[in-house]
Amino acid sequence: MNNNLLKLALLLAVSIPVVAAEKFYADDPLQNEPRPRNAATVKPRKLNDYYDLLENSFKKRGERNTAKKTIRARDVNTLGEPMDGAWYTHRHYWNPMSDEQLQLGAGGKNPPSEAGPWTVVSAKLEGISPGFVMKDSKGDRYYVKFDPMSNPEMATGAEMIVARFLYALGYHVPDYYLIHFKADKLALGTDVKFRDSNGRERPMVQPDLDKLLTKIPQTADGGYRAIVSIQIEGKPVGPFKYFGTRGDDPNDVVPHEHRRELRALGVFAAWLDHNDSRSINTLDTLVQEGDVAYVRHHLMDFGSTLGSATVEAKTARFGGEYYLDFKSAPKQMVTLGLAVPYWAHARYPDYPAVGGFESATFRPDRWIPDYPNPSFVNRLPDDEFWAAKQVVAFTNDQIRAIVKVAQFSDPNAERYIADTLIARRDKIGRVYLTKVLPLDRFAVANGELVFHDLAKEYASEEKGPLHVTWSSFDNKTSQKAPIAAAQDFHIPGDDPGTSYLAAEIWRGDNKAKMITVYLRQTGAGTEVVGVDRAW
Amino acid sequence: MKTKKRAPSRHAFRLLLSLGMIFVPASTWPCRAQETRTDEIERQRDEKAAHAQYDQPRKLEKDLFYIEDNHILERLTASYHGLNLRFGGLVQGSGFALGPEYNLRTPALLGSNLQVGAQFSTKLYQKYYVGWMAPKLLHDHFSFDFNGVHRNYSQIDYFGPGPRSLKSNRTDYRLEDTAVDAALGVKPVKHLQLGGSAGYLAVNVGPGQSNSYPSTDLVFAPSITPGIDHQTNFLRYGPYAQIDYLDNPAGPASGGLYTFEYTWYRDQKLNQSDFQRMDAEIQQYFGFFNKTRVIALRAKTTLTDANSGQTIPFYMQPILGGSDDLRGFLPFRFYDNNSLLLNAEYRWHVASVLDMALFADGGKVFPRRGELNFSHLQGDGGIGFRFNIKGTQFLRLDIAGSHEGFQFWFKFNDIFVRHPVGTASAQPIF
Repeated sequence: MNNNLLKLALLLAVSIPVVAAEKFYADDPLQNEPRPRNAATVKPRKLNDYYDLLENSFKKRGERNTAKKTIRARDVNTLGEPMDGAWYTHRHYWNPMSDEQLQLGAGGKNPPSEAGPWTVVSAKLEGISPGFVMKDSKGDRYYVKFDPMSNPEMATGAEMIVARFLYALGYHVPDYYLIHFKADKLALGTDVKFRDSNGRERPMVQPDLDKLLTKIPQTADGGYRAIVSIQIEGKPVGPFKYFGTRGDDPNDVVPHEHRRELRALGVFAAWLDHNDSRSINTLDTLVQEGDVAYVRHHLMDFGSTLGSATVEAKTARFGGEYYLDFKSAPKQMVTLGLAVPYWAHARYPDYPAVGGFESATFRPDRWIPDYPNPSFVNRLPDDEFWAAKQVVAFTNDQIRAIVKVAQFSDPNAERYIADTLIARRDKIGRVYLTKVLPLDRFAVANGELVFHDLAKEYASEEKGPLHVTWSSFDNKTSQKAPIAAAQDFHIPGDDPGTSYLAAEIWRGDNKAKMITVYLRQTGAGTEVVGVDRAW
Repeated sequence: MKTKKRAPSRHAFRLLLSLGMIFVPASTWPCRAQETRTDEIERQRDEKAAHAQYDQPRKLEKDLFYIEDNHILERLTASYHGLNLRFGGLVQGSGFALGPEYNLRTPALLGSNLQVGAQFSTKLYQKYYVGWMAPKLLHDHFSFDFNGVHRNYSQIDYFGPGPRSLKSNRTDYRLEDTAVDAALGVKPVKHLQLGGSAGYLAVNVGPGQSNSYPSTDLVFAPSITPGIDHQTNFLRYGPYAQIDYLDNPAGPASGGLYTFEYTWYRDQKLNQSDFQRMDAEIQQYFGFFNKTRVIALRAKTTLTDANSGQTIPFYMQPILGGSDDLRGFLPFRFYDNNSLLLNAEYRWHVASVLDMALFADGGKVFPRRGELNFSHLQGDGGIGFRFNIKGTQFLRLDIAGSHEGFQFWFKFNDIFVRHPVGTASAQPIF
């Protein structure tokens, strides 16, 4: 009896066709992540900088895409968009921001108060990047960082600019301000301890603060320029990694290497030359909202962006080669260095505020950070398209408006950085808007399927007209039944038995780069409910 | 027993039911009909919450934290406040060396560093030292150094005097000396340092301790090798000047470093060895392709001039040969009253942590200053591997060949090693 039942069960298993879940649920496409679970038990963690370097350089962490197995981004809705929530918020591309909003960035309304002294409450005076924490008269805490002596305005300018871009691109970033002050504005707090250059922890005294100021370039009026960020909301619980999930966070269910906004960050990092885009420059905070505490994920520390390597100008290697990259080593060894890498041909302007930033040798698809980033490595053409469409959406004027926040004293430096960002933006468009069919912003208007053709708007490659075929789509079986008569972008007439339609669109005869747009027809009308891209 | 027989049947029935539920069309499921994307995500969160656990760091990461938190690397590689362990730093040929070093840095010392240490090597070389360094006094316009050192090197090689000495005449001697020197420098303008220094040096030479080669005093007579029988003490003093516009002192790729020193040596004991010594060195670097390729050049000469009726003891003569100058020759291969050294390197970027170099060395020692020219140079050539971190070299592997054979050098210093200026370094072995 037992054996017979088992046999029957197995027979059922092999004879009945597998029924997948519905492709579209009633609440698709989700615009926001569902309300987070309470994650109050998440504990702070540290990440060792050197371990992160070694781990990512010598181990293939996370689930990697390969030639045989590709895993598309998993944190997206049926339109291919990440949902608003702990990682990301739709901003400029979807709801164009004014120049003023772009310049304000993450906050813009809470600079240090000019009233009273700024009290230094802790400090890191040695190491590659000296800085301190201060409190203003309101009691708000600010992290203070400076430019290197060799390159006044470079690191602070880069951080101001890039924080604005990344905010407009949807990431959670700190609220940064530029400050100018005279030495007497600073007051040393009581019982401030720090570790000096000899590794000794001791009370900080006024000469220590004076010594720090001798390492900072002075402005023409004898003052100092610094960048400050107000403490990020929530309790810090350490950085996030670019692979796997945080084990104690119940809301963190998608491996980070499969998150679209993290894969796409590789394209943004290339644009902004953010070579230091690694875990140590991220921060998770436990944010309380009502009765729920959840982990919010931030990017931070943009001192090594554009032409700045924080403590000096970038050298040509940045963006061209990993720290521990031996792939091209045999070639370099054998040719005695006569095979010069493409990035070594870069030419930089003589603006100290710019550092090592240029566009002539920039190759978006060959740019890499300081060491392998599992999310960047895992990105697919649809992730790149998602990023590129946002990059090219910044107009020249918007880019120039953002660059202004750096308050460069040399207008040539400001112009050069803006021009370089514009040139790099255009290169990104040319490379990534051609890897897939670059149609976007699908909608229904006046009985037609409408969209933006980014190839016409930004990219040069545009071969042949667009073609479309329509099918009715069975949401339960994912079967398509062609509607032969429909061959333009007018939505086929109502079929009582059809609640979903699928429009397959391609350009010229290139069906490999096809987009399938799914529409749901309900009593309330027709809406775009899904987008699938092929390449 | 009966219940045990029935239980599998019930399980099988449940299995059948479950499989049936799975493979029956979803639309017939009462609960599936109400499924939403939100439900799906919530279910994933349920599963995660059920297995939530804190991410423990791996063992390697814990170890790295320990090293970082306790500043172990700094204590091995830099002069950190407190007790450190120092690697290397002894003369070439000493074998592996290490020893304790204590650094005292307090605000009371006005940014200066008081240093006391001792080093021992596998060949039983010994060095004991104390130093007080104030490199940036009065807004970096002045510097002051005080150094006291006692060295006891048990087997320094000697092949005989002059450029024609034979490799087969290899001997060794013990060099034991004690020196006290002070230097005061001033930086009147950027890139330029002027200064003067004075010191006292007491030297003792004894039989070499090598089991492989005879002791120098058994092979070379005092008439050939002055000072082998009696050693003396010196008062020494002189000025120096240095122009330094290297782009990165830790790994230069452009710019130059020019050093000139003149030192008077006054024999305080035997009245036989009063002499003057002049050291001049030019280093020049030409970087191209964004400094990923560098031509590095060095020219260096040491000229001496003994007073009338005086001789320069062999242990104070300029020396060539070894890892820092003529790399295709044994260490301390050539001794004479004067020396000339030329080095050229073509360096290229291989990877971020590795540069390579093709190099050629030329040099000679010579008895009279009038022979300062480019004839009769000893030459060698080779290839080098330079390992660095963030542009700072920490390890050098050079392979050099000359008519005397091949030499392999495994060093923790730059080939164009930047010596401190002043009388403390104005001697052949220091």
